[in-house]
Amino acid sequence: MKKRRLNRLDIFILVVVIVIIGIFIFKKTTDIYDPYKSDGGAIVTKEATLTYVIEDVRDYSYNAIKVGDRFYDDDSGSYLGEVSEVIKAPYHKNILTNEGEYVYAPVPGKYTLYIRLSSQVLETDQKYLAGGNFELKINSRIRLASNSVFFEGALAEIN
Amino acid sequence: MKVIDRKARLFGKVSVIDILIIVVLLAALFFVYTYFVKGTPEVVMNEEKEAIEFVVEVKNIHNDIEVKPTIGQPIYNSNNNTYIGEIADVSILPDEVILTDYESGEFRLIEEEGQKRMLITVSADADLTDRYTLVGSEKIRVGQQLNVKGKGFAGFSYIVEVRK
Repeated sequence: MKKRRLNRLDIFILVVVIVIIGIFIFKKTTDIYDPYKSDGGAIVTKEATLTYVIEDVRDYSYNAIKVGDRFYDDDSGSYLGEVSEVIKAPYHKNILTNEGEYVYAPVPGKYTLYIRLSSQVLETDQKYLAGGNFELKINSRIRLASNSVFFEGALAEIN
Repeated sequence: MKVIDRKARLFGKVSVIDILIIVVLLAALFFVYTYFVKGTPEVVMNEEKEAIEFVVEVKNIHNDIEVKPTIGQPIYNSNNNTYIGEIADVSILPDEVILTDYESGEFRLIEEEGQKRMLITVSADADLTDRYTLVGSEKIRVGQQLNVKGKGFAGFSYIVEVRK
């Protein structure tokens, strides 16, 4: 039988097939959280309160949040929890005055919101997870969304 | 020269079968990316639509520009020409700006001279899911950028209120 050398098209097809298989295997083995095989340590599901800080928003955003609203990570679609409390505080920024002093001054019409979400959190030795497989990391910024509002915020506390 | 010759090659060069294989592989790659990397798209659960109203804010309109959206006319997403509802109300207000006073070390919210802003209330039929309020495929939520256009006007705008 005549030996056939791989041409460019064959190599392209091979690469695409390998990429598809690679993505499939990677997502199947890393993304879907299986509490029985990961970490090997104790796994505990707990009721938790997640506090997110959202800065530099107007009244419109505050008015669109209600206790009981369900919030998600907008990028992954992971469910984070239900709003139990919303606190509105003035938003502050630094000004360097003509005298060379820094003043941490409130910005009129802008607010910092603290949103508390009641959540079910899975705790392992190495991480906290909400919504099945969404890793909760204090100080990480995410795009938070309900079906009425969305904004960017940082996780401040897992209680 | 024939378009497809006896060996099923396009213009005698690339095999039609090879092209078919490439198309199928690219489609598979797109599918894998959509479902395993981007995540499964939201499925609308309820078939009945609900009447909602939402307000979009168009800022920084020069005072000399006469914008006249007409109540009752259709309004569209100006980026993709998607219908998003009907204009229910229009109000023109002075625009506001936050200035920094470096003498006193304060921020001041003042009316911006020469500029106005427009609030357009839109009524639409929406699909309400747990995650989204959708008008067609548009996500209707406060903070969402939604550039609008209607007959004879357009604006760079954000959604500032959703009434359900």
